[in-house]
Amino acid sequence: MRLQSVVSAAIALACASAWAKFEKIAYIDSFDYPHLHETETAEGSIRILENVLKTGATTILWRNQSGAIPRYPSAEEALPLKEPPLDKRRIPLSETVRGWVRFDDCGVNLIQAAADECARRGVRFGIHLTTEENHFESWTLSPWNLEHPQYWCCRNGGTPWPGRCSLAYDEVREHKLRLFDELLAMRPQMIYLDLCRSGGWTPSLEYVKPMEDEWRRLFGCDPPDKSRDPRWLALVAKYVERYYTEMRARITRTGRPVELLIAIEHAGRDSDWNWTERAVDWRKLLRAGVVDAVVVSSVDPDWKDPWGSTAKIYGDVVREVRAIGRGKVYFPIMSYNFTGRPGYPEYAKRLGISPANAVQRLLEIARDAGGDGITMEVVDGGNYSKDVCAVISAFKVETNKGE
Amino acid sequence: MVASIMMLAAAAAALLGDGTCGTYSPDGTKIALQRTESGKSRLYVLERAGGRCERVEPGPGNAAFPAWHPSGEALVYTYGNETNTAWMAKDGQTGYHLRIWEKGAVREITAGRFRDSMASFSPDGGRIYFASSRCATPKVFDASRTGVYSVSPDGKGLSCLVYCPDNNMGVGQPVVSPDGTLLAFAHIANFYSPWRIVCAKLSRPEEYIPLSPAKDSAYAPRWMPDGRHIVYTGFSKGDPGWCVYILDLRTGSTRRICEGRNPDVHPSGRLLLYDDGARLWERPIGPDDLPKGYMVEVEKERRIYSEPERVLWKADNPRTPMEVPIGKDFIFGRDRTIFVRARFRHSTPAGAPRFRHLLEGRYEGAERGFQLFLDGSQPKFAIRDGDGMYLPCCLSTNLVAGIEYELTGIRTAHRLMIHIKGARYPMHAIDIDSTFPLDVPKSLGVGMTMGADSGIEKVEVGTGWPANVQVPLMRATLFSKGGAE
Repeated sequence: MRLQSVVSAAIALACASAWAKFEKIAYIDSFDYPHLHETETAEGSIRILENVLKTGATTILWRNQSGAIPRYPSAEEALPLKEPPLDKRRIPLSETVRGWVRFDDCGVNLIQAAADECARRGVRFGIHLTTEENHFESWTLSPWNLEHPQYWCCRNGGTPWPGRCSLAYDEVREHKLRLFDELLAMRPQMIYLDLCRSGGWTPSLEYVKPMEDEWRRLFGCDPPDKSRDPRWLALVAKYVERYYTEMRARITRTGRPVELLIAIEHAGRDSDWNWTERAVDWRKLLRAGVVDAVVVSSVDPDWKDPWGSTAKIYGDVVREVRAIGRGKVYFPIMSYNFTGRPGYPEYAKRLGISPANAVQRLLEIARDAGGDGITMEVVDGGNYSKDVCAVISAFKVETNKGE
Repeated sequence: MVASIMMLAAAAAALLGDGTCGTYSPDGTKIALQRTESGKSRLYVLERAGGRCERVEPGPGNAAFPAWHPSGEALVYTYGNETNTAWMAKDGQTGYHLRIWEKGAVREITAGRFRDSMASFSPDGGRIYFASSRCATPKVFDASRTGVYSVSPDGKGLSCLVYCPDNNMGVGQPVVSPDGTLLAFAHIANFYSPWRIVCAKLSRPEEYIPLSPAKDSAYAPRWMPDGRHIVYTGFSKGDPGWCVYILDLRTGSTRRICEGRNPDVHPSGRLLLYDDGARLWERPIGPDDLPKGYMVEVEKERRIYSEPERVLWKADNPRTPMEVPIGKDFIFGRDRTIFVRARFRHSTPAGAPRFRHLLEGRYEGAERGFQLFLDGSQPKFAIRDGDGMYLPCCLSTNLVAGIEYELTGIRTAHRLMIHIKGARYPMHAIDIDSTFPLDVPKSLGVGMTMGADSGIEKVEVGTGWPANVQVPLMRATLFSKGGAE
């Protein structure tokens, strides 16, 4: 038994050496698999993991929730009868099998099962933490959210928005941090803060009383009509940053080295999407030591020169991060276009090349820009073809980045 | 001071015990309720005198949302026994179905891979009304919707009363008025809208109108015995949590009674039953609890629909794309009802872009302040909110190539609507909050993304209620004397 532990540790160490060179991170959305096999068992989680590892992934990040319903037995979101039709406020998902999945209520901690298997195989394990409290359907709303309408976000016109509770309320941050503690208890080595999946939230939905009161104290007038007012964004950002800073403090409290990653969306745009749409200043968070790495989750290349413009965007991000003096950078190998975020098929289509060739070129650009690795967006059943997986698996970077 | 204390004492709530979704029997002597035990929902009947509590559904699954037969001899409720994993339910008959408990015996009323729930009897006991996922096709990806259905207590004569054609559109807890003429239920138009209490004539259930305030979230309606008020669970900005509200049907006025949810009113009209913290409470209510005042919305509604249409600009056969700069005389005016109308022959040319715009209004600060367009073959009308964000209103109809259509987009001060002439579900509407001001457009674009031959035969823009669109049912009409006949 002890020998097995020593061997596992040696494998993990060897892998760690490779990770320092070029990490291949795959996100897993287990909700994409229930139509393929039984996913509400530990064996089901392992089968999903095996499928994802075919991509050559060295790290996997498991999605923590469906919309906002945890995919593990959560004490914080333990409210029974949360699914439709037992909750009058939820419209059911009627899709065969998938509509009946209960990852939180099947007697097994499926994420922990995957984490344990990763440890056995020497694969790094982490959490893909979405910031949403819904996935654009009412059945995905968080049970805690539905119990606490008094903390709901609000539109400028005064209509409460149930899609998310506002971080301006201490009770909401405390609730979310308790959920974060539950994730930390699964001993992840990495946690990725996904900013794309916000369930439709933007700073325009933060016209809640604490925020409005603070605005009036600061500026002596009513809050602005336009939520893109830089002062409004700064006020919303204050609460978002407080939440992430408190996350970091929870990580420190564990005494374990958990890397916190944050997304950069739409890199290459003139406007700073992270700032205007999510009130997140990734540079500030990186500088302050709140996050350890950035994930360029999507880029907006100039399609007149896709490779050249992509290389420039990647290079610019790496230079900014290196100038800050700390932090890793990961670049996307995304298998599909997702709400205006081009994946590698878009490059292949526009350039008339095979997807595998597009991936090969994107890997090279990520490496040449000085990136620390790549991320694969939600490795579903078969969306990363065998050819593409072969290219990713075979891609090696010899240069050590000095981590 | 003494008087105040006495009033407080009169309004004090009495704890009846554990339970939720309680409902009084027709004679007021019993309460049917549900309790969560070991993670499962169980059904009980509580004797108000003496407090004896008897479990009525012995099955191992979840039983929820009891409602009494007018005789007081039977209950209808939803029941489902989930399999251990979803995969195990793959080929089975898993679902939530309606059951009737009568004199100790249980019988199943509905079946299939559906979720039937929140049922109630008609006042004569001859029909059961309920919400169901039958609107969705089980194999469709992300099919998430419910409609209002009706069935006889013997399980025969199943019919759809309110079909919800779009994902995230749904209904809950349909209940018929004591006189049997009106149907109230909770309704949600899409994911971005709040739940609202709506009402229709039972004879024309698809013509429902919203009753609860547009800015509030409201669900779980029940009629008060007077037939003039509805109690419901609601939330309004500033409330401490979910609250019990009373709504006056004729005026639309509401009054918050207390914190709690799932209210019901005793047949005497003098007691209110609700749950709070998974416990059942009862408190007295009286005339002072009823909402007062006259809601301005009723008058606004009347004004909006009575303003005749005034066409400000039109074009016949604008087959090729054109941009029309707007002169000084062309202004919609602040907060006016505006409409855009297009008649066209639909086509789906090869290589056409996904979004094809029939008519768009261009503004300083919003390239498409409003747009009437096709998303593939689905018609949509969209405006921008105060932040410039896209606010769409979509018809579920998929247009057929070669057929002539007339589409109208309407924006009133509080609603966004799209109408298609001649369809079974001709109108879709959403409530809107702060919107981008559409008073003075910079220019109009006609068929800008439709290609060389747009098929457009006529376009018009104007103010007032468009003459080709039937005025929706108004609260004043529905609740006027004889309006519900």
